[in-house]
Amino acid sequence: MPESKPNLGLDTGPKAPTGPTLFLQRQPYRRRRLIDAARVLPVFGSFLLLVPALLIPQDVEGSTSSMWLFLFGVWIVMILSGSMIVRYMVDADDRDRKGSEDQEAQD
Amino acid sequence: MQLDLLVLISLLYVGMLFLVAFAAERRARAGKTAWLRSPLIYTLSLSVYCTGWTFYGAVGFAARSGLEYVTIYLGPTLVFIGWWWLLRKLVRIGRTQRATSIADLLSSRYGKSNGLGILVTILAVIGTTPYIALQLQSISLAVAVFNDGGTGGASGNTTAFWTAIGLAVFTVVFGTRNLDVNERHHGVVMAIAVEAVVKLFALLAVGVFVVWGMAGGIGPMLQQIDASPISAWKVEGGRWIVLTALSGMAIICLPRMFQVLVVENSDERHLATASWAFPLYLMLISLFVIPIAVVGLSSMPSGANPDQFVLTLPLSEGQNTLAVLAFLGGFSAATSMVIVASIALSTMLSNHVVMPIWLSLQAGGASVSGDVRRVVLYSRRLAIAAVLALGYGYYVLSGGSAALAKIGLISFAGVAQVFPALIGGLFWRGATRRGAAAGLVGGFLVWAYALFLPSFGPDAVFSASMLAEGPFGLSFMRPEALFGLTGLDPLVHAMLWSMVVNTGLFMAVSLATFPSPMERLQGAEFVNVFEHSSAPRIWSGGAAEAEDLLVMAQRILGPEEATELFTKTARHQGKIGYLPDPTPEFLSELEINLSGSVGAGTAHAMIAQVHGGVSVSVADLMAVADETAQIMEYSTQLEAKSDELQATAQELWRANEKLTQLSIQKDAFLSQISHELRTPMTSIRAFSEILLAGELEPEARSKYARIIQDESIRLTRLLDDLLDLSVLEHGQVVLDPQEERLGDVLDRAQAAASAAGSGMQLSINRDSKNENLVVRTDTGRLAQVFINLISNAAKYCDHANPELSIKTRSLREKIQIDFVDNGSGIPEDSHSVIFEKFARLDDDKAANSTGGAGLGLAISREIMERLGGSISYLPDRQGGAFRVTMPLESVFETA
Repeated sequence: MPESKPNLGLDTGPKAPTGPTLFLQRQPYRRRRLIDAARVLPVFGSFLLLVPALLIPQDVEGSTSSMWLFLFGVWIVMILSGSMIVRYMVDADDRDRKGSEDQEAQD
Repeated sequence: MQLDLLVLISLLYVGMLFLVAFAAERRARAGKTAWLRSPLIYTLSLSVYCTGWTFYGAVGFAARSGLEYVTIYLGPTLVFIGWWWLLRKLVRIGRTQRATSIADLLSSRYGKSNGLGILVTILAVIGTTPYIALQLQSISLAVAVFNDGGTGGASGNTTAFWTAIGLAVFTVVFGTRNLDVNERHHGVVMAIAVEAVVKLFALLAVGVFVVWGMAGGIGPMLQQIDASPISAWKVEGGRWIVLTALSGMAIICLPRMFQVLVVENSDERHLATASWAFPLYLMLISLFVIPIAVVGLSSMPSGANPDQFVLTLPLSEGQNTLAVLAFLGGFSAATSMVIVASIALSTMLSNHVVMPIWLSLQAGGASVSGDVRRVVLYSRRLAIAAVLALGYGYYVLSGGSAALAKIGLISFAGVAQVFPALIGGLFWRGATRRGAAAGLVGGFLVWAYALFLPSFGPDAVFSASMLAEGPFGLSFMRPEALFGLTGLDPLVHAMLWSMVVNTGLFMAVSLATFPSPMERLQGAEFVNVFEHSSAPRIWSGGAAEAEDLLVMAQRILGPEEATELFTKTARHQGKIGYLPDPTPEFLSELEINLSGSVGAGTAHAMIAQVHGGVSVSVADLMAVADETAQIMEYSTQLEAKSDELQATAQELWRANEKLTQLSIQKDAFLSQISHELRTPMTSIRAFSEILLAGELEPEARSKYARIIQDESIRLTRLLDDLLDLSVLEHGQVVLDPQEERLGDVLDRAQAAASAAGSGMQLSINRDSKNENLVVRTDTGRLAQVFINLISNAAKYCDHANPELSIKTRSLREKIQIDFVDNGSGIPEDSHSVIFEKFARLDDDKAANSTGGAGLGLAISREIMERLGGSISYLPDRQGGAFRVTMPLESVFETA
């Protein structure tokens, strides 16, 4: 997957024209970061859901109810984060589409 | 509660499902698919993951092992939350390749190998049949709960039988209604979505009733959980992780999940929604499982089956409506699984087993009369019936025992054997068909040996002694403790070994074997699916008759679809009203369309048959390309050789020319030299004979003696010249560089020439001021050239008052000295020969009197070349004109 380079203002590449293009460039960047988030979310989720199971010693008294709360809490947070990422992604897609249409209109 | 009423309610519910399915089909036919194909319906259809085993069994699972049941839902949750990694690619590939099942996808990935398709099909049937039996069991147990309190027994078989019949009818009606090119079943999906809502609602209703109706709210519920025997459960890290991973693999590999996830997917964007919505569904489904289990354990009699708490708790509380709702929920969960699973399996069976056999039995090929479409549909219907019969048979044989309850996870583990081949196929281009087959077979055998067969209990398939001590007393082969790995949970143990063997064989065999061209092509198509989606293969057009293709397409796609496709293509090709040309593009498109109905392998084979076997496979193309490359290389080599030969021939020709010339020159030289030598020799001989005869006047004697002397001198000079020329020509001359004024050299030459040609009337004009140049060269040799030129002018100038003007010019590093006389010059046709040896012009005036051997100019030219200069004749002057060009400083090796 191509990664966008961090823009440090030192970009020696072709100069981007000023104006609306600046915002068009921001969107692919944002989209990439959303994809990053979509990629990282299951990794974090797996960590939270699997690693405690490995680390909890067998002989320690634990409360099933608190564990139940923890699991479903993580679950709900994952679902919310996932839905937000997807929502922003769809929005970014729509903006992209609209943006490119605008650009075509300008041309 | 009356059993009849329950049956009536169930029938009404099933009737409603039929109506829903009919309505959906109708809307779909009318083209109103917008609502039918929404992300919501897609997400709900994914809930076939949650079967009757989930609905009833999860509570039992929780009652036995606490929170561990959530792993069955956490795995899929993680897979869906991580959709960007895997599901996105899987769905894209499934759609671009028109995969009809997971077997079709794998077969397509590994070079459209039908063998692999059959293997996966068999695996899927073995893995799914117990699961279908489990669903039938859950329904019959539920009915039994209403009937006699949950003991099951003989009535269970009857319930299971009629349920199986009903499901078969429903599935046949809506699952094989049409042979859609996209293999989508609007009616089935809609019915499943409704069932998904019903089962979620039912479970939530029971949960809400338990928490707020029985436990008294959330707080007391939590306290009750901690007080319950369930809390004695401890997390087992190994099992926790293996179960999570297993369920994550299963959601991708289960045939029914592939059906709803990939095959029924109509828009890839729906997956984005499902990526969080389906985890939400799973979360809600599993939310109240623990409370139900806890309350059930505390309030139900100790012998009660925890698998039935969802039903028995409301019943015991007198909540009959809720119990019926729960029953319908469980019924929905079980039936939806059976419907989708049997559709998926029947597709696999008909595409990978029945159709290839049928095609091979049809000697005439795919274009003979007879409706393939009907064959496909019948084979699917039969397959559905067979799958349900298998499930029912398994249920009856296993006796509806508790062993079935365990079968859920065992079935998961069997189906998960497809996972390495699938993931490898999606992400690793080096994965080969042999590797995939080896991994599948190896993993499956380990699964069967270590998990599936022992699950029937001691003395069922394996004897108790074999389970305890291994076959033939080989303890390291103990099914549940392979290679001495004792003490592990059987499931964890079997998963560990089967995955190690599976992945190991898959990798090792893939690394060791070489994939066929088709495998490599498909591998690239799959792994790089986001970079390109080109036509996967090429058919060479021309040989296939468009009519045959139409006949075949009609039989598979149906008359309307086929005609529409052909008309559209014809319009595209600009042939309105005619059949389209079987261009490669058209054939590829047709194949993809056909593969939507009968699978990639079969479609490929059918087109190949109609095509009269002239299909150009990629292997053929590659072979041709190889051959072409070889021929090209060969021809390049030949060309190079021929060039070389031509060059050699030319060189030889040139050498031959040169030799011929040399031979001619040599002959000429010899004849000339003999002539030159003979003339003076003849005079010498004649006069010496006269002298020998004696009695001569002293005057005459001295005259003859002078003639002899003169001729001898001439002979000597000729020989000297010849020697000189030979030395010069062979570069053996020793040059002696000196510095001298050019004027002095000319003075000396003039004097020498005058001395030689005594009585010379030639008057010489010189511009002495230009001659004031110092040259560094072999001035002796230079003088020789000048003498030659001056004496030539003296000899040959035919003017009455012969004059020679010597003009010197200096041009930077060079000097030009022109010798121009006022005679008539040299005839034009002789210009080219004057520098040749013995090129004495036939000028009778000069010939004998001067006695030149004709070597002078040849020698002069050789000398000038040695001195780094040149001598040339100037044809555009009035008289004879020679130009000597030489550098101011000659550079030559001093010997």
